[in-house]
Amino acid sequence: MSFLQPIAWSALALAIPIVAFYLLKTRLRRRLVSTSLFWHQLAPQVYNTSLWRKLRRWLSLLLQLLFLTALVMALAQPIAAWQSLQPASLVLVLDPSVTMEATDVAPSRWQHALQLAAQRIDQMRGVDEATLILAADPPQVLTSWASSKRLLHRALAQAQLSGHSTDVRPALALARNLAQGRPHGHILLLSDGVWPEPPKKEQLAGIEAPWISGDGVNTGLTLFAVRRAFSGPGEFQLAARVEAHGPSPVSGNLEIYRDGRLMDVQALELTPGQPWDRTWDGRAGQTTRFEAKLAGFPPDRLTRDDHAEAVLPAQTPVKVELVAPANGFLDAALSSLDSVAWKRTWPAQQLGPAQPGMLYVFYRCLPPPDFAAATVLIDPAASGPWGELRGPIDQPLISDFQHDSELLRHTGIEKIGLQKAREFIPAPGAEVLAESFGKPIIFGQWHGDRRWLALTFDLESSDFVLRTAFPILLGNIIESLRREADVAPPAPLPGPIASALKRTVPDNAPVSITSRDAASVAWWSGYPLWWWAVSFGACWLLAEWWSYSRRITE
Amino acid sequence: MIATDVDQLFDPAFLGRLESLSLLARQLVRSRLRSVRRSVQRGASVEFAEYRPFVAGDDWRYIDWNAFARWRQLVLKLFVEEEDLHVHLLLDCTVSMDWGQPVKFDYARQLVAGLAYITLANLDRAAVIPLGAEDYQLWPPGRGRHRFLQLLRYLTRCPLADTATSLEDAARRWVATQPRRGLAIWVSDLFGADLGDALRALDRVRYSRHELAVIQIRHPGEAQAGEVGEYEVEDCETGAVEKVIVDAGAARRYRERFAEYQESIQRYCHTHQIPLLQVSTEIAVTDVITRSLMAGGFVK
Repeated sequence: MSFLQPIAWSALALAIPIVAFYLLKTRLRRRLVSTSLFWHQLAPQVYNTSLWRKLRRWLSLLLQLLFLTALVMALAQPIAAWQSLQPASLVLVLDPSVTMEATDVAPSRWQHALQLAAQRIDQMRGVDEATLILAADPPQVLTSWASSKRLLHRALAQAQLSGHSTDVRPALALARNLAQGRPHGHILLLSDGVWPEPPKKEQLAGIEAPWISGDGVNTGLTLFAVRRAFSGPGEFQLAARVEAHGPSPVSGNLEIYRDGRLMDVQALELTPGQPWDRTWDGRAGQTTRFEAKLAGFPPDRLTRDDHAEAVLPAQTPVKVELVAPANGFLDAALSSLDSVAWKRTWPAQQLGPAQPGMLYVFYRCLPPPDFAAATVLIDPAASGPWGELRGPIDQPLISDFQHDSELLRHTGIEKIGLQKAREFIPAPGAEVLAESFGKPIIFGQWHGDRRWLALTFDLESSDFVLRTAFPILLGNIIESLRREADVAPPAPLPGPIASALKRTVPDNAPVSITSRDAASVAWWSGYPLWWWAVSFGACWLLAEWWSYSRRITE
Repeated sequence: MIATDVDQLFDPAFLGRLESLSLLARQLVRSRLRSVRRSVQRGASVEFAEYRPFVAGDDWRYIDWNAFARWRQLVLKLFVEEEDLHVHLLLDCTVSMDWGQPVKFDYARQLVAGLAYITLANLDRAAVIPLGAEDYQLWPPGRGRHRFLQLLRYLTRCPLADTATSLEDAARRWVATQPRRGLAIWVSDLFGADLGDALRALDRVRYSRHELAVIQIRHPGEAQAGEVGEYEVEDCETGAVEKVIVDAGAARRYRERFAEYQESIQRYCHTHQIPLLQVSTEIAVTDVITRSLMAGGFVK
C-alpha cells in the first residue's frame, strides 16, 4: 500500500494534545468540605466499582487515538496496489452558459458544478490524469492532461461563466477526441442540459452527465429590442416579452425607462407558458437608452433576465448630392426633409467618384458611365444602363402603379398631371413602378447593391412639384436608404429557452446518469472519507463529554 | 473568612433585635421558671431543705430546738439557698466551623452573643468557653449588662483552633477546670474526629452534672453531596483527602449517612433529656434565639 499524501502522517502529532487533554480531564478537582466523615464512610462503596467503570476512561482515550489514526490515514489517501494498475483519464467539460447562474441548486448551478469538479479532482489517484474544457464559444482547454491536483484546481479556478447561451457541441467533440486518445478515457459533463441547440444522442453516448438542475421557477424578459420605424423619420418601435415558468401564475410590474426616466409601468398577471408581449412607438432622433426591469415578482432562480437594456442609435443623416442646375423645387424639397445632408454639384463635370451610401439625384444631366451608387434620374435625355430611349410621350397619364411599393407609399402618384414624358424600354431587371398605358413613367431597380430609379418626365412640364407627392417620393427614397444603417441590436438576454431553465436534452439520451439530477443525488455521497472521519470524531467527543458530565457511564 | 471586626460581626440591627428579645426572655423567666432555678447549695432561705447533725463549729443559731425536744439530739435545720444561675456557653472553635457562607463560626458567635445578652439581662452569670482554642482564655462568669460590650469584643477576637481537635478532648479539658455547675449550652456543628466524638464530648459534660443544652449548626451545603463528578474531597479540619466519584448513587448514600448522623444526635439528646436545637445557617440568628426561648431548656 502506498499513500498519495504521506505528509499527512505528521498529523499524528495531534496525539500529544489529545493525551494532554485526557490527563487534564482525568485530574481530579479538589473540593473543600467541613468534614470528610461521611465521605470516608462512602469511600469503600465508591471504589468498589465495575470493570467497565474503571476502564471507561482508558477506552475513551483509546477510541480518540483510533479516531485520530483513521483521520490521518484518510488524509494520507492510501492506494492499494491493485488500484494503481488501471490509470484513468478524465475529461471534465464545464458548461458556462447563462442558465448555470440559476440558484435552484444551492448555492448555484455553476458553483455546484465547480464543487463536483473539485470533488472529482480530489478523488483522483496518483496515476490518474484529467483535462478541463470550458464549453464556451469556441471551447477553451483550461489545462491539458495533468495528474497534479493543484494544477487542476488552479485551472478550475480560472473557469468563468459566459453570461449567454453557449453551444456545447464543439466542446463535446473536442472532449471525445481527447478521451479517445487515452486507454481509459472518460468524459464528465457538468451542465444543466439547457441548450438552444442540444447535441444529438450519439454525441452524448457514453458521457457521464449528472444533470445539475432544480425546480426551474423563473420569470424573465425573453425579448427587449428597439428599432427605427420606417413610418417616418426619427420614429422607433420598442418591443418586450415576458415569460413565466413555474407551478403557479405570478404577478408583478414591468418598468420601462427611457434614458433613466420612467417611461411606462405595466402590471402583469403571467400564467406559466403564456408569454406577454407589448410594443411601444415613439420618436427619437438622438441616441436613446431603454431599460426594462421586472419588479414585484416573487423571487426566481435566474436574475440575469430580470433586467435588460437596449440602445437606439442616433439617426444617421443621409447624404444626397444633387447634380443639377439651381432648382427651387428640388432645393426646397431636400431642405424640408429631416436628417438629410445635401449639396449641389454643377456643372456635372465637377462630380467626383461615387461614394457608397450616398444618394445622387441627376436632373438635366446624366451620370457618368459605370457610376456605382444609388441614383435618381429625373427626365434622362438619352439611353443608358437604365434603358433605351424610344421617343416622347404626349399627355401621359398615370394609368397604373404599384400600390404596395415602398417608394410610392402615400404619394398619390396617380393624381399628378403630366404634359409630356419620355418613353423608355427599361433595362432588364428593372421594375416599373408607374406607367401610362403600358409605357413606363417611373421605373428602376431599387434593391441590391446598385440602386437606381428613373422618372421620365420633366419637373417643369408637370404639376408634380406642386403636389405633396414630390417631397413624399423623395422622402421615401431617402428613408429606404437609411434602413440598413439604423438597425439596433436587441438587448442581450438569455432567451426563451434559457429562461425556461428546463433541460432540452431528451430523457433517453445515452448518458450514464440521466435518471436523476445532481441535486437529487443522496446528500451523503458527496462527502470525502476524511469529512466523515472528522464528523464521527466530533460526534464521539460530544457524546463522550456529555456522558462524562452526566455520569451516564458511572 | 471569619469576621474580625465587631461592627462586621454584630451589626446594629442584630443588637437591636437582641434588646427586644431580652424583654421576651424576662417575661418567660418570671412567669414560670423562678422556682425551678434552685441550687443544691444549702443556705439561708425560707424554704426547708433537710436536717443535719450538729458538729463543732456550726452556727448555734441554726439549731432546731423543737427537734432537740423531740429526738434529744442537736440537729441543724438547713434551708435551700437561692443563687445566681451560671450559664456556660460552649463555643465550638474547631476548624470545621470555618466553612460555608455565612461561615458557621460567625453564626455561632452571633448565637453565643445573643444567648449571653439574654443571660446577662436576667441578672444571671454568663461564661463563654472557646472549646478547641485552648490558648484563648475563657470568658469568666460574670453578671451585669455592662459586660456585654466587652463580651462582644471578646467574641470578635476569638480565634479558631489551628489544628485538628477532638471535641471529647476539648470537653474533657473544660470539665477538668471544675467550673461551677450550671447550664451548659453547646453551640457546635458536632463534627468531631469521628462519628462518636461529639456524643462522647456530650457525655463528658453531662457526667459533670451540668444541665446541658445543644444547638447544632449546620450549613445547607453539608447535607448534599454537591455536583456530580470526580473530586478530591479535602477535610478543612484534618486536611485528609478522599478521592470520590459523585454520581446519583453516591449522592443518595451521602444524604443517607448525613441524615443517620443527625438522627443519632437526636436520639442521644432525647434519651438523656437534653434540649436540642438543630438550626441551619439560612435561619436568622435572632429567630434561632426566639425558638430556643420558646422551646425552653436553654434560658431558665
